[in-house]
Amino acid sequence: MNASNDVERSLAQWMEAVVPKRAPDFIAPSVLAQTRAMSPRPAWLARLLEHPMHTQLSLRRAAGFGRSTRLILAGLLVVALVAGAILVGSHLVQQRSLPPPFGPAGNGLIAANIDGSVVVMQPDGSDVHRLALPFAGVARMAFSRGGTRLAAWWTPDPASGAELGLMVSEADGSDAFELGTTRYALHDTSRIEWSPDDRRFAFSDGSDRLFVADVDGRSVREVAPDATIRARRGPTWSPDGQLAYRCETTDGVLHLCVMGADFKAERILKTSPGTEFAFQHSSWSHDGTRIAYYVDDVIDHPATSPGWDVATIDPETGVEHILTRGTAEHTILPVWTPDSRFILVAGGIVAADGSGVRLIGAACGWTSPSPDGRFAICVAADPPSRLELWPVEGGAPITLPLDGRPETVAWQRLSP
Amino acid sequence: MDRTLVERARQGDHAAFAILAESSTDRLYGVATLILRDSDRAQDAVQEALVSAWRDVRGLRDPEAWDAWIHRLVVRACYREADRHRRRRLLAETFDPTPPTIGDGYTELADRDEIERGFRRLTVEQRAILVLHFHGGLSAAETGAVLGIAEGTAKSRLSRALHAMRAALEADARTIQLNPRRPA
Repeated sequence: MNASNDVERSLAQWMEAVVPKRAPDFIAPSVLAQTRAMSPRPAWLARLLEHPMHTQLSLRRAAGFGRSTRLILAGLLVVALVAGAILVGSHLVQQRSLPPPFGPAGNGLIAANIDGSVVVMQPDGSDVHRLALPFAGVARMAFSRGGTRLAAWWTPDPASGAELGLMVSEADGSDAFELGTTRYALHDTSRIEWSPDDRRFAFSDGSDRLFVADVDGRSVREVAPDATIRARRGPTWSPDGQLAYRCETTDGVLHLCVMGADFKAERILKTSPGTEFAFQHSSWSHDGTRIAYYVDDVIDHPATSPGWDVATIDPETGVEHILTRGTAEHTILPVWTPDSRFILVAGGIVAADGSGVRLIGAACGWTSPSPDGRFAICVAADPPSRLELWPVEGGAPITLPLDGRPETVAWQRLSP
Repeated sequence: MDRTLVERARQGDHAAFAILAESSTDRLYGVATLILRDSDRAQDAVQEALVSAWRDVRGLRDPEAWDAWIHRLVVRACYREADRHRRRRLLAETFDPTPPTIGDGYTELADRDEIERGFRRLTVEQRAILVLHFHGGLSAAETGAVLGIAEGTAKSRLSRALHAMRAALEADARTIQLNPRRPA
């Protein structure tokens, strides 16, 4: 066949000729046998864990250089490395010298995202008021660690709601501005992660691209220094400004990656044995000594585990500790308490020393700690118009009924 | 696709899911076999996609989107199969093409062989978009819905995949000219 022939027609005919008309008879019975004893995930969890599809058609190719060009580049590289080392060194010193607001503090305010607005209240549910923000469809707000700033997504086209913009304001909603004009399609778990110094925040979009926003500079940039990594999701900051996140190399393998505070280099800290959901939305402890993530025991330990379990890793040594085994709930979306003693997960509270896990119900979605670390708060899925405040050390939950259905909840830290 | 069945499956009715799975299997297996060009891996991909469908059926917001969604799951499973296969570095050794139907004459068989070789030179992503469009008969908008990309993006990727297919055929023709003893 000549290549100039009608390729489209030939392709269609070839596919029609070679496609099998029937599947092997065992496939459907095998699937039904596997799924019969399996309960479908709750809707919110299924959407949270949806894996994005990589649809890039070709991988980036490294540019080819001649020998002389390489020599010149090598010389320039040496000069750049020396200059870079000086700059990075001074930058890191600056990062570490910042006084990050880690550690326990007095409790602040609770903010719930209801009907495209931010509703703020006292921790006992009193003094409910709506922030006056000049943006429509505000969602997934996050207060900076010091509690002085607010960042959130907003919806330029509420009819479609497909793409979102970024907004920043003071914590009370004043001085609001749009951060850049880029629109982002988001994954259900895309959330804003403020840096320890409150000057920046990081997030990943629905295509698993990692961005860092410079709030003072009013700019957003994608950070992707290593071309062999094709996807980055769910960043979390270390106290000294490094980022950890789930990454996927171009060979399809999932890893836990760490990027330096200068965003110029990244390294693989841990590689998944092949699970689909491992390392999503990890959390760096506030003392900087551990990163919490979850492992997918459905695949890793199918004989013993019905869901996911939580592990921590020392970012310096790479030593991993699996804290739970065969936990009945989906122990995903880990978040450290400020004192680094507990890890809150969807549906549970895990002791960071591995001494136990306390289940608080699958109805709790993303759970976050109060600024003093004493409470875990979550949006209750059923019935939906309430928040639940669980004492971390034990005890019955406090229920906060709301006028409206909250989508997300966050704490605003107040100075103690 | 019966919307009622999808709604029942979302409520946890396994019998409804069984009907949906059994009625989808042949079609999904065809898509997976074309994309992966390997019957064993296509079986694995279809099983993985259907298990995922039951596991995550409550996350499907619109029952009318079942067809697009189940195709998305199978394409995604094909990507993972291809990744796993690539990692094992066994692609060339274990390739198991589905034999073409006999009886259409030598010329057509030779053409099919050439198409097969060209198709295998494409990335799995390129194969997927070509299969969805030319075998599944999906429009650019429908292909975009399955792949989770905009219609315009689907159009441009389809165009690039076709371009790559033409290039692969031309490369194959040049190889045959250089090595005339190779069977066409």
